[in-house]
Amino acid sequence: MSTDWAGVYRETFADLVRFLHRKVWDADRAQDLAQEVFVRALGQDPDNPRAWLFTVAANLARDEARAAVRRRRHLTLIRGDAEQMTTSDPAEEFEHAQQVEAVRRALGQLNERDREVLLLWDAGFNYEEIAEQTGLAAGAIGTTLARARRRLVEAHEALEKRDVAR
Amino acid sequence: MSHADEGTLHAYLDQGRQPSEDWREVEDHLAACAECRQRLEEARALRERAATILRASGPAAVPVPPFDAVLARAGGRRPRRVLSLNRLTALGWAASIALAVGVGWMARGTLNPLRSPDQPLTLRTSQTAPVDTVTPRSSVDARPGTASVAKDAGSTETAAERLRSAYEVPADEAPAGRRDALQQNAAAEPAAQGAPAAAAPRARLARDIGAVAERREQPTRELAAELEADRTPVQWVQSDRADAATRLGETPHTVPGVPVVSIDRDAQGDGRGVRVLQDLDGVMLEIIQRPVSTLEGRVEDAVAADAPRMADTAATAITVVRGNAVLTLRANIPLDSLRSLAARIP
Repeated sequence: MSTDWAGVYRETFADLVRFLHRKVWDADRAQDLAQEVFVRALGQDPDNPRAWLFTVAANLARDEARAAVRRRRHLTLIRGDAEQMTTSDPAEEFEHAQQVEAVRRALGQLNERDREVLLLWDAGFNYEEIAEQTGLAAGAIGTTLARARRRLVEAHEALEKRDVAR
Repeated sequence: MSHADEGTLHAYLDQGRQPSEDWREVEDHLAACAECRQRLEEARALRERAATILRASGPAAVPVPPFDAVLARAGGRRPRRVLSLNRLTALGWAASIALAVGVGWMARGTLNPLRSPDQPLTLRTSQTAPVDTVTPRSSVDARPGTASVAKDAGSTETAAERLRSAYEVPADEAPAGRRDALQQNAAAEPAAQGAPAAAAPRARLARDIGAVAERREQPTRELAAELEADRTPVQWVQSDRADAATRLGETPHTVPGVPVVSIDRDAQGDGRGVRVLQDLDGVMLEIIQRPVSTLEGRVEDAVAADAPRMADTAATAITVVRGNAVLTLRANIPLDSLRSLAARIP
């Protein structure tokens, strides 16, 4: 039976955008890449459509990272736009931008495997799906998630303290 | 059971709601061990804190475009054909067999010892007729729809030439349907030849606003020729903000916060084209602008011409309308950066 991609799209698109956003840190780009993932999905008939989509999304995000150097010089401009689009209150915009930047930096302090497991869990994957996606043993996911959460929280708190001290 | 480790506690919190025999032992231990209950609460707090941090980093809202947008985007692309190894192997065999048959057939036509040197060689294109026969010339000429190569064996014509000419069916000998198609094709040719000149709301617009959006990717030869034809040289001469405002009928559009390097005007045509150059940290952003009123209703063409490229990450130009002007932004930066810059122009 072929996959009902329209149904999967309705259920998964927002999660996919959030997952991609935490990899590319650009809301527009995350939306664009999420659509691209579904464009590539059409005509495919995987056993686990959701897992398939996130695998393709992770690969696209990885390709995106290769272009990051080229893009970096424009990040300030793009971030400025993201601030403008999220809210209309300048104070809220500033606060949200600070929060996003702090999380981005905190996640950057995790190793790649821990970060991937954490983001997949946050995207709604269960332990078996995470294990399948990452190649880890299902029994190791709890330990990996515990470590990833602890490191994220510690890194985030350290960044907050540093910002307060300035 | 010994004390539960942190991984087990997180797994219990993440999965424990699902009834399972696997958690019976953990629950029994937690019921009896105050230390592990304390650690469970710590794990719960850590889990919640991490989730809160991640939530704060997400986009404020995730609009979900209709699925039709995905279908439209997919429909704009040529499907990528991937040949499997098996299919390639099969094609290889097919090509080899076709080649062998062709060579054998030609060699037979040339070397057949039973055929006298002045006997003609005749081929039929009809699949129901024999493929290769030796036929007297008179019978060949009398059979409509038959392709003939009535060549003497002593001719210097090569095998390849014979093969090619064997499949050239004169139009007046072609079946009626085929003849109609040939006539239609012939009638269509002049139209096709005239197509480049008519192609072009995009070309006209490009000339009007003095620029052609370029693709960074290697263009095909046809596209390169089209772009070259479109690229009417524009002579920009230095101007200033006041002069540009007079020509545009409004203040020239710029991306706020980005230094303006120069403001130029088009020295040709009606002189109402204006170009603003802005320095994006070493990369030049070009904003070519022209009053909408001078495009005679072709604004939609201008924007539509760029629409397909909006989904193409290789594009480096977009066209937008701001105020009473049509703006084409060009820069050697990714499309989303360019789009973000365009969005910042009030």
